[in-house]
Amino acid sequence: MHNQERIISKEGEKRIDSKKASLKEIFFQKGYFFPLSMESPFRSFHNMILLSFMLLSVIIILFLSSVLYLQFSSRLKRERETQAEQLLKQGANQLEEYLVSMRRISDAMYYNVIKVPDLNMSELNEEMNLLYEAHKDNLVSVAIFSSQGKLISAVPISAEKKNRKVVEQDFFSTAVQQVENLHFSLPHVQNLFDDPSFRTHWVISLSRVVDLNRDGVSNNAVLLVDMNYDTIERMMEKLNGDDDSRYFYLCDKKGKLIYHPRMREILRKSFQENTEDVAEWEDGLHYIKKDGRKETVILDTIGYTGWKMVSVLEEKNPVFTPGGTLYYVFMLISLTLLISLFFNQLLSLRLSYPIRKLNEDLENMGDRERFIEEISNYGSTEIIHLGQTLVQSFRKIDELTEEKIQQQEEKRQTEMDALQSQINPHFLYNTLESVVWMIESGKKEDAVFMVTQLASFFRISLSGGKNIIPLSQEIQHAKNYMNIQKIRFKNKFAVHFDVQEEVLDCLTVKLILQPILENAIYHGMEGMDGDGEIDVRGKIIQENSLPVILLSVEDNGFGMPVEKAESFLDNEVEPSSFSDRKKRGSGVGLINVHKRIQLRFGSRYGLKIISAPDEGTTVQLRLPPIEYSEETQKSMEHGNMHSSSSGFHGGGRNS
Amino acid sequence: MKENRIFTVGVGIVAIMLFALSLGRLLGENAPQKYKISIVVDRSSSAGWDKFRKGLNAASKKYNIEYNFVTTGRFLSIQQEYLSLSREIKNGADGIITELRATEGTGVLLNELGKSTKLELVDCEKEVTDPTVSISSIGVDEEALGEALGKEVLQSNLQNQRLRIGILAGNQNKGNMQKRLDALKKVLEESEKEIVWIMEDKGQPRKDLEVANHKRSVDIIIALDNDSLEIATRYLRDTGRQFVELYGVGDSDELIYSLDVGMIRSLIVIDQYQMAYSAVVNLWQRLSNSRNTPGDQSVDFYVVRADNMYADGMERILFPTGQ
Repeated sequence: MHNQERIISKEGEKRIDSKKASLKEIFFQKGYFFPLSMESPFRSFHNMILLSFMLLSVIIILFLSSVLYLQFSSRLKRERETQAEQLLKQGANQLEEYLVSMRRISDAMYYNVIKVPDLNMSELNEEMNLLYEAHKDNLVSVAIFSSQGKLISAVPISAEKKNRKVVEQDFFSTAVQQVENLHFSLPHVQNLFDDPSFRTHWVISLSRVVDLNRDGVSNNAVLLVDMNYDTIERMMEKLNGDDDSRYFYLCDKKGKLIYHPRMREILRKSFQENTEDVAEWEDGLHYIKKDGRKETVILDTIGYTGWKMVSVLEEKNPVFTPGGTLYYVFMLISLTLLISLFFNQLLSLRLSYPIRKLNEDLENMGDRERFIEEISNYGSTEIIHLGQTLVQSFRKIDELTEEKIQQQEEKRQTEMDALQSQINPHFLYNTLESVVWMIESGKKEDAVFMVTQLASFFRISLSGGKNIIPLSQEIQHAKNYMNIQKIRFKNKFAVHFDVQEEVLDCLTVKLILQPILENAIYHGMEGMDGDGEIDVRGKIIQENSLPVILLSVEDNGFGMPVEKAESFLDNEVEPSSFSDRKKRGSGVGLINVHKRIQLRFGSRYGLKIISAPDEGTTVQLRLPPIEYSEETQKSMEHGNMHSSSSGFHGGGRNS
Repeated sequence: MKENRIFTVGVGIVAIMLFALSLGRLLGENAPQKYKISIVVDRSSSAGWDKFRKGLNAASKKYNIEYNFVTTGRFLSIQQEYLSLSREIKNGADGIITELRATEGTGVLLNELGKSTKLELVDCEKEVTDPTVSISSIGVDEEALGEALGKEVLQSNLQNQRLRIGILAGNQNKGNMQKRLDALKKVLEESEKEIVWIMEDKGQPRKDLEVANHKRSVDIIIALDNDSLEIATRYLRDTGRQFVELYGVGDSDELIYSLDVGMIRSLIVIDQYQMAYSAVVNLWQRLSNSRNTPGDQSVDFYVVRADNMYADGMERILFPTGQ
């Protein structure tokens, strides 16, 4: 189970890793248009500044606009509500005054006419007529009915319509049920009196029970004052005005409509007004939702009647209506965005100009020598510093490149010299003369041996054009040379080779031992009479914790002063003349060997001469222990440094 | 250009926003343009147009329309009507509401007029017109009306007796009136009532009525339009024929009064107020190139008797206020 969990979690990890890898691929894939792609123009300095500024601007603008809009719109809403409230109160007051005036007319009719004792019919009619005439703009008729519903008097028309049951009419029954009160009816068409001109009037009936004194007898009667509904209608129409977003209506305390600007639509059921619920609300502001739209409903109760004056504020589509707040806010946001866009573009261009100029200059750089000085020295201290650093870097690169070229040239030259010296005709002539002498002397085996050694010597010297050979071949080359010289010098000296196996498997620059041996022979053994000893040793040692091949050529010759030995390799030119060297042997000096080793492997390696007068000379060669393989050989031939040993570093890299 | 892509895109987005806002404002709820319309009907002074005028007034106020109710007498021919309509167009009417005195032969007239102005027909049928010419009409379901009227007659107090019926058919040049008459006749004939005479309005309806009724008196008179019913009412009043039952179509104050006092037994009232209101609204929508342009419409009719004429909703229909 545990193993399974481990397997599962490993698989899970793999999946996560592969997801991360694919995400990384998506984000950084070249050539793919994505904001973070390396080649995307959005990654440019200018665009990043512009985006950042724009983002900030948009956030600030939206925030401020929202705050301002909310503030403004709530203020506007409050003002609308206040205005509607004020209008509502005005309208309510006006209506109340009108109703009060109607009550006064009714009171006047009652107290000043009906209640007058002993008034006869004609006087009653006359008084009623007078009162009617005084208020006929607002009145349709005034009538008195007995408690049985019989018409006693009426102005202006007294002819009743037939088949009217007055006692069943609302105005009569309501008055009779509540004797002490005045009653206002809902609007209706007055249908009591016969008007031969066919005119009809919408009225609101004000009725009350009165004491009628006739012939000394007091009886109950019903006084009916029919108010002209037109007056209320005109009042409400004026209140409604032209504002489509708001309307006022009137209803009684049970919610029955008295006036509504959309009455016909309500009757046709194409518009709904929830008046019955509204009538039960308290006076003041109410916020409701109707058909998905918000509405503000303001109520005011008319005194005595209990009628409700209602104002409805509709919230219309705010964006596109003339004067719509949201429309202006959006316009303002758009214009502000446009201005900030232009401003941010200018600012980002200005700020990014130095780095863009620097970038442009670098792109346009052709002949570095000519244009390096023209890299812009412009902008902030950081950009100037960057530019100057770039200039210095380019100069340094140029210097290093020059140095490299020089080293390569030197290397080539020294190798050419070394090779050239190997095919120096003097050594060949001398050796061939020795061979001729040996043949003439009948020393055929010695001659064969000489020729064989010479052949091997030259084969290794050439090495098929290679400069890097295994140390085994270099040792062999040295042996060939020494074998030839021993014969030539009639074994005046002995040479011993003691090289570790592991050294033989390493690579080296060719033609390094032979020149040292040559020197040992011509400078060390010269003048000696048969006791010369030359020892060639090779082993791997640790120097500064790093492995190093140490080849040494030690002779027991005359030696040289210590100072000379120490400063021998500092000279540019060999102490002995080249022509002199050429006559004796290969002609390639120790300095050449030392330079070639250092050019190839670094300054850690090379020659070291230890000598003292009459104490012989030891020449040490230090090489890096690079194991031989074909690939390594090819790589080193092409000038690549091989990092098998960690001591590979220093100036003059062959990269 | 690549470098400035963000800037260009940003400017583009803001420009689109500004364009959309401006376009929305143009297409949105703007203050309506003031249009001028003319109303050309047969016998404009007839009281039968009173409710129609009230509806016209209310709609014109709401939609900010200036209207001219052209004074006309009785149109004697289509050509006379055509001249009247053309004159209104020449006088700058943006649209015309009209009631054609006939149906047959008016197609050509409508095609021609419809190309130069917006036409709305009321209370009449239109002959087939060029489909590219936009003309709509508002009327009532004539078959249903005729049928309802017939059914009211069948409920007469005299139902157990053999009834003699006379019909004042009004202007039978109009296709809708023909349908009304046909529907009424169908109901009466199915109930085996005797239709003694049917009189079209040929210019002297009162005289024709007197002559016809003198020749063969009837128990029931049915009038198919307002003017005919008024004539019938006056005739009965003047002649004191209180036992003749009167039924008909109309809504003038006189007829309503007559219904109230019992002279008319049953009245079919077409919602003229709504007809006028809808005609104005339709015309306004077409003139303002609104996306909502309704086609032909119908309005309601009501069967009114003395016992229901003062009922809640009926009052508003019979006695419209300014609302």
